[in-house]
Amino acid sequence: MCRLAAITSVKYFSPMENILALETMKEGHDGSGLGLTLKDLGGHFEKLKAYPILSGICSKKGAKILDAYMDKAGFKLKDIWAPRIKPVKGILQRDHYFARIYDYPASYVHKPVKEKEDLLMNVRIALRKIGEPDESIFVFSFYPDVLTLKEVGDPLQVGEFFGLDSDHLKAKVIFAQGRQNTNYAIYLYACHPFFIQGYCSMTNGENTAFVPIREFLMGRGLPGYTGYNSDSEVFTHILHYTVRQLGFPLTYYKDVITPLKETETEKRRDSAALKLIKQSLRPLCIDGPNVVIGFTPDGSCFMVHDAKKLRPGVVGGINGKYALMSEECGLDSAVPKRDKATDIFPMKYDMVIVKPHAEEVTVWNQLQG
Amino acid sequence: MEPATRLDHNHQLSLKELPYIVRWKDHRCTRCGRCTAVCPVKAIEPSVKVKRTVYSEGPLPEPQATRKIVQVVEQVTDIERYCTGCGTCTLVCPNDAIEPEYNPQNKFLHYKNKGGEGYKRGGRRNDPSISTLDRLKFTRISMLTDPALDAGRHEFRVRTLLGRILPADELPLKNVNGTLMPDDNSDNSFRRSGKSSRS
Repeated sequence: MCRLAAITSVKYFSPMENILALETMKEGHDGSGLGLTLKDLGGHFEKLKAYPILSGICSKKGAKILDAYMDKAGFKLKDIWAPRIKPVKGILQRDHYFARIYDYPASYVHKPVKEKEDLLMNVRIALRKIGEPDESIFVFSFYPDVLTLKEVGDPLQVGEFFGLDSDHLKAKVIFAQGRQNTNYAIYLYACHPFFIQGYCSMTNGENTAFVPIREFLMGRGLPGYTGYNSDSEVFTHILHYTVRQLGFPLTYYKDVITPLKETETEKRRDSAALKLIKQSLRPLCIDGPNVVIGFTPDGSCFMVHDAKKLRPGVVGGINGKYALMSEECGLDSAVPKRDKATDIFPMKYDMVIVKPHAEEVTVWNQLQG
Repeated sequence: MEPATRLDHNHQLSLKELPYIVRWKDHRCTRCGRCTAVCPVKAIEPSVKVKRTVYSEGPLPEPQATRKIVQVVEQVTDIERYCTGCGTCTLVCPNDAIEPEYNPQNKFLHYKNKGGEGYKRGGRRNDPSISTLDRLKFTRISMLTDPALDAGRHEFRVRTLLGRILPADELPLKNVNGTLMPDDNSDNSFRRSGKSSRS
């Protein structure tokens, strides 16, 4: 079990809101880690939205390697942001936590977005490969207007450790995960949320179909489909593959991970397409109790369940601020002034989508299409 | 305390129980000792015995017993030192005085395999490794705590689909206002390929 707290708002807000929401759901996580992904950044980053941000952790030795690598790749360092670390008992401090803002290499400035994205991903993978054996470099994301922070420890303490309570770090979409370590050793790359080329997701659950999905994804020939220190990382990659690579509308994510039976597709206008998708993407069916919360590059957030629906999830809020949470108490903490009667508890066939800028929340039903 | 089997002397064998009985001819043997020296399983050994003979001389039966000390080559009845019928004794004997003879009535294995396990269905007695049940590993907590979730975990996956399956990025689909519809103009469209095959 992990606990998830995602908030999307039209105004900038502090990640502490997510962390406090996680704190109310404390019974559901064991304080073994916190992962934060912020999108649509404000404050320091507001004027730098066009430039990719490399976020990660490195040792002193790793910092030199990283600088040398980025220099060689042609990236020009524009700015550096680092959290103001306050030492907290119980959290082992690493040398450098950083968010480095780069300008694209001269040859890439006028290239199309997709090529830029591929470059960023390849650089991130290369850095990861360099730093992984001796843990000198961890890189979590390299993408414009997205910042990722991860550390092992109790979420509230980690928030304090990063100085988020006093910092002016703000964003419009923030995902936070309080980790409960179950199946694997605590490892930073196994910490949600996972991010690839603008697509991000975090999961509470366990994925029994992990191995066939991983094999299918790794066979796609995309260098970004790597890692898999957590079985939930495949959810992010399925999202990326479905929406970005195949160009399917977002709702088809639900049809890929939990396809309908043939008898259930009668009411869908696109039943012919569903049949083809089910055949071709059968290895991407997930199996296990899962709730997935994710966002796409346009800023839409969604929540979706596995067919077993054995993990909690609730969406609620007011126009301009919605929260996608594991539990109701987290929702109360994030958006206290709301009409509780309108809270949405998505069921087996539902996909809750919050439109960009928290404009509107819709429930898409898989049976109706 | 001593186990009961130790106190039971019924396990001692007689020569008839052994698979081979060594036939030794007293009148041909010169007591050279080659056979007892060469026997690989030490099934025969020289021994000295007192032999009692009853005889009668004269017109009326007057049986008299005399005792005589004799040197013989004797087969032992120790279960571990049974004759395997290799015939090495026969080979070295200069006078054809000794040879093993197969005993077709022997039930030697009945004694030799005492305490052995009978054959069971589905088991392999000769596999020394630990059993399959002991090799099972629980890799996830939920395999123990949440067995209901495990129902689907071990089912067989049918990975081979019959018929024509296209890779996902080559599916003949088009996006119509957020809904995917079959695209008849696509190169992979089934209708198109159907028409061309008819013509």
